[in-house]
Amino acid sequence: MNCDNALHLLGLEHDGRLPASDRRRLDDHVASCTACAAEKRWLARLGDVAGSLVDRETPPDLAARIAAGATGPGTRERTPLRAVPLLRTAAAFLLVLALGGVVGYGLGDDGRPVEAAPSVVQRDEAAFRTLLKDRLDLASPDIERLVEIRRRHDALLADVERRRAEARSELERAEIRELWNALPEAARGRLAAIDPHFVPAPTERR
Amino acid sequence: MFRKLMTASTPTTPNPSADEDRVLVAKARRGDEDAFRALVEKHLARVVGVARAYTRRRSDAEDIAQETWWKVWRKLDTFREGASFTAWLYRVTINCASDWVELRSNRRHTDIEEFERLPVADDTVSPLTGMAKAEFAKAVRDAIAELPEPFRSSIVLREIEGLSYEEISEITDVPIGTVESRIFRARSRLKAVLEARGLRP
Repeated sequence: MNCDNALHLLGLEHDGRLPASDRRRLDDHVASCTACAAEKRWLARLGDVAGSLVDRETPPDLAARIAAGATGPGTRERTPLRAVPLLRTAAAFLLVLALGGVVGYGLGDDGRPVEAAPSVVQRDEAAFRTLLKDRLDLASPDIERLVEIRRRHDALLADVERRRAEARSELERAEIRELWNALPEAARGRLAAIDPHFVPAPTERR
Repeated sequence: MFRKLMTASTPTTPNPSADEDRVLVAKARRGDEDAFRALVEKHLARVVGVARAYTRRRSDAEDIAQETWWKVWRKLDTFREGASFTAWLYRVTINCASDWVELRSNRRHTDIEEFERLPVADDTVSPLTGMAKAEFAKAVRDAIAELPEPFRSSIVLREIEGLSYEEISEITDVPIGTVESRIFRARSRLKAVLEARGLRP
């Protein structure tokens, strides 16, 4: 066993995935290799401190505040991230007034996919309208214009998310393809037997 | 394609917690705010735990958690029925945390190329002599926060959340072989960062 194999197996051992058949060979190698013994100590140390990194402490009322903020009419006690879209929406409103109907494009990021079913979407839009009407005291035509801006941006955002998912998927396929193509012919069959996930689709093989 | 293969080979076992999630999600999708609040209370610690690995300040982690749940509420209708709510929640959390880091910091993470240029530590440097475990833990936390994606999320889910490869595969939507590779590389990069800072674990 060389050090490359041992390092790989040490990672699996650390994660409790070391095949029993490799145990003896790995122990023998680590016993005689300073570098791999050090790697084993590093993994143990990492596992040791990882437990102390877990920090789930939250203020007792955080869950209630978050739930109320998410489902409420667009207002939250602490809204650093959502303040940005709100300001952008307000800016869009001013722009609409200043330019007599020319609307800003891509304003009002809210992360909502356009294909969402009506229940939550309609409730959210109603909350947005309430916010514009009751808190900003806007007239109906202005409200409709702002809602339309928001809808348009939702569509853009959904498109971006779709493209992002496609790009990620393509990258994963490329990785598998490249790994496969870099393998010696004889090793491919063995890898396919170990983990079929690494085998690219027939049309993607070189 | 790979996800289907993996899922097919994974035995299904009864999971009362997941069943409870399914009921709460179904109610929340119909606009039941109490059900949504129950979901938040049940899973908030999980979300904060992941967010905390992306930030140095607890208040920032709370912001990420707030953003995450806001998106969860808005996207509940896109959640695929029968899927794991926990896995989906992890995915939303990781995306929010990554976006938060990108938006709020000026390149706080290190690019992959920068890792390749990191200097190798001097062998004569003392291995953590005199360094308290808490200090080392802080150094590890900072180093994890600076890892580029997807290595950061892989190491967070494995080392901090303690998830299995199968669970990480489901969350990140990549084959188990890729999960294994990412975790291996993430640990190597983490070690390189710590060594470059004079720490020899």
